[in-house]
Amino acid sequence: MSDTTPPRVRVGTGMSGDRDAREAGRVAASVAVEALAGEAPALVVVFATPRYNLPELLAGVRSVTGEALLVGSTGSGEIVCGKYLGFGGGVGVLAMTAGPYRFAAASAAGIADDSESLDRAGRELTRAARERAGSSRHAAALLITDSLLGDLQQFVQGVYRITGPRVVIVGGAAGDEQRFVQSSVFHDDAILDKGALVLWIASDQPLHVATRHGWQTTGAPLLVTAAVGTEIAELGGRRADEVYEAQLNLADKLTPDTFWGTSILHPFGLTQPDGRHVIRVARTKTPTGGLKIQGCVPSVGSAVQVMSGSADSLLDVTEEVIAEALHDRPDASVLLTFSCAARAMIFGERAPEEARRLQAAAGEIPTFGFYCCAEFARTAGVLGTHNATLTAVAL
Amino acid sequence: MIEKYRTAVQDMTRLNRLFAILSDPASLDVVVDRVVIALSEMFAADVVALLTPDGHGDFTTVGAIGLPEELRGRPFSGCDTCCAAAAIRSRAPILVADAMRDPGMDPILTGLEIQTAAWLPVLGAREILGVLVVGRGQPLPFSLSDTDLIMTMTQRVGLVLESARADEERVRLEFRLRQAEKAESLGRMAGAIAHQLNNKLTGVMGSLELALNEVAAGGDPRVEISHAQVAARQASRIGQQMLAYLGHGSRGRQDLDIVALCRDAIQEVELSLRAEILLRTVFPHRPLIVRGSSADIHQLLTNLATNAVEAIVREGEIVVAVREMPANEIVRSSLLHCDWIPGSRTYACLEVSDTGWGMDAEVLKNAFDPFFTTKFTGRGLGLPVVHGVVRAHDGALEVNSSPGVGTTVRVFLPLVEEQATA
Repeated sequence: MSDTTPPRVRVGTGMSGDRDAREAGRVAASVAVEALAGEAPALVVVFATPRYNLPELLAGVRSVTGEALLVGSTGSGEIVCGKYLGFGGGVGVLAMTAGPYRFAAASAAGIADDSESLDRAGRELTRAARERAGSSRHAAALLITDSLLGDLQQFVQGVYRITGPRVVIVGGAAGDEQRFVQSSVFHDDAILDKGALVLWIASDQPLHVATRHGWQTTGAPLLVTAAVGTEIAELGGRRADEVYEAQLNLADKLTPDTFWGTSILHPFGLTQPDGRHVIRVARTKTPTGGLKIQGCVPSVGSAVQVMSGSADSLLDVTEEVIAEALHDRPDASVLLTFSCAARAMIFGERAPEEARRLQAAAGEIPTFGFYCCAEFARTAGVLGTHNATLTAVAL
Repeated sequence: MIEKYRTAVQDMTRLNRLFAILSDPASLDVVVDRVVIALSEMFAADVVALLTPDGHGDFTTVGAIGLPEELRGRPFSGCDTCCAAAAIRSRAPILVADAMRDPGMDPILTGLEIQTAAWLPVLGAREILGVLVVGRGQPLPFSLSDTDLIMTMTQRVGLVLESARADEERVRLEFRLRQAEKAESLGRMAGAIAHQLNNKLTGVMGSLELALNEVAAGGDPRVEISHAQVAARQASRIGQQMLAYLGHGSRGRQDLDIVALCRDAIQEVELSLRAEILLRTVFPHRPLIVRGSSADIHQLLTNLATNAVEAIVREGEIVVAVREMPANEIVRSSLLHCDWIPGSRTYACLEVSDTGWGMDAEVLKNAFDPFFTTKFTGRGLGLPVVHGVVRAHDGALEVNSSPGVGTTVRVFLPLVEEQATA
């Protein structure tokens, strides 16, 4: 009688706050790999503060994990089994055996930030990663991109052109602790500038992405009447900043310097047919009255609403996300989580609470992830790029 | 009340967005791609596909989002019981609430686990052009108001599709016409080359024959051999000019001051100028450096000046001017090739204008065809050579002419970048 039990996935996580990049990488990877009980990792995921000497950091990790496929990025705080490492906190490493999965990645650096280049990069990387992984009944495309590439939805769109709806799209955009100067994507030994990576996860079992944000609408729907690049130029035919500020009863009170402090608490919600909202955060206002959106601008003709939320309402979705992610996968070996750096800023001193609640809800299943500058989670239609949102996938 | 207001705003914004896409003067492929993506976003539809009959009873995908790459080439079924055929027959939307159990659903969509779908006929003003299918992976049926809205959008898509197809057909016919004209021009050119070379070679052969006779008679054949040499050189010159026309004539490129080249060429022209013709020059005080072949550019200048001189029957004026011009001031629609793309920020503009007899539209259309000439003694290689030299130097050419008024030819040659950025 043959054994039909799928091969077991072994997962290990490690972290380090050591100031020495190579040592931090080595220590975190050693702890992670130790948990594999002598098996070699098939996939290594690394999320780290951008303050490290990154080549040294990866050299430290690879000194332990060898040639195992490595993916990851810089971020704005790491999530490692209930711990939140915070800005400048260090490095988190996940090592896992393949079990029933097959992993393959494709990446590119120096991607131009125009729509066509991003769409093409999404298609080409997805095609290449899928080809390397081979065919399977189910799959997920885990995306890690530079957050400064422009309209990241164009990249997701390119990915979706190849995958269609049966392949889960999940992931996050690299960050630099909210400085918006340079973020980096990791692939094996390479540190990619203006880069993107697609990790193809071939699976025999269905995979599922869960996503929630915790924001509520406030005020009337607004019509985006002009958008340029990643900027909303007009709402209802008027300067976007004036309309936005009027909705919040803050007319003429927000300067470019004080804008971010308010806009982070009042993102836009892109109205969806089922009543949900896809969140878009305006990061800055321009001298001409435009609102620059992080990662993905709502198209002209979109209906948006200004949203409100609190640390509590945002944290309260944590358990829902985990429950949904584990709904069909109670036997999962790991939960990969992607939360927004803006959420961590809103949480302030309570930031570690999200990581704690994620792990508490996941029980024995390790949680691992990072705080991103845009979260990827396609659940309906082509839109799969979010801000200020928490997303997770169970493997 | 608020809910109604919200729905109205949302519908209006969706229509606005779609109409903005449809009114964008992009290619049909791009417009269809944007439409399906917009519909996918607006209605949270996992699959949106525009299908047209493939002529064999099935449907082919014109544009889609959400169809995995490996399924893009697969035809959608056109059988009598399928939703696509039903939508076309009824000229009305077909709504499918439980797609996985509906026998009319296409297996491509059920394979993608689409739960609810709407099939909408795409109606043009004269015919049914295809079907738009919108499908969701969630069990969230399309509401009647959604369907009405998508149907309104689909009708507009149909009109745009029909108009775009008519445009494509017109462009296709124009292209075929242009190809036919080119073929005619090539035929004329090949005939003319053969004729011109034949003339010259006949001269060579005749002179050599006379030379042989002269030798046989014990005479001196040098005069005949010299005549043969002249005819052979003329044949070679035709070959060189054809190479110049084809843009293959440039050799030995270097940085050249086009102002100085113009001064030299004009001095040569002045020597042979009739007294009734006034020649004016307008040159800048500083050099304008272009990279090229001095022989080719000299040839270009001489050809333009010679054409201008020959265009003036009695008295008249020729103006030769050189100036610097930013690329963005060159009016591309006026150029001989309006698809020309500037490769430099700044150009040298060489302008030769005359008050001669000018050209009508028909003559102007053929003026750059090799061996086309209106002059009794011309070989018809003057302007084609100019054109070839300009192309070989990554430049552009503009010609304006009116019968009885005169002709202005502008040649734009890229200035070397060090000078352009100075």
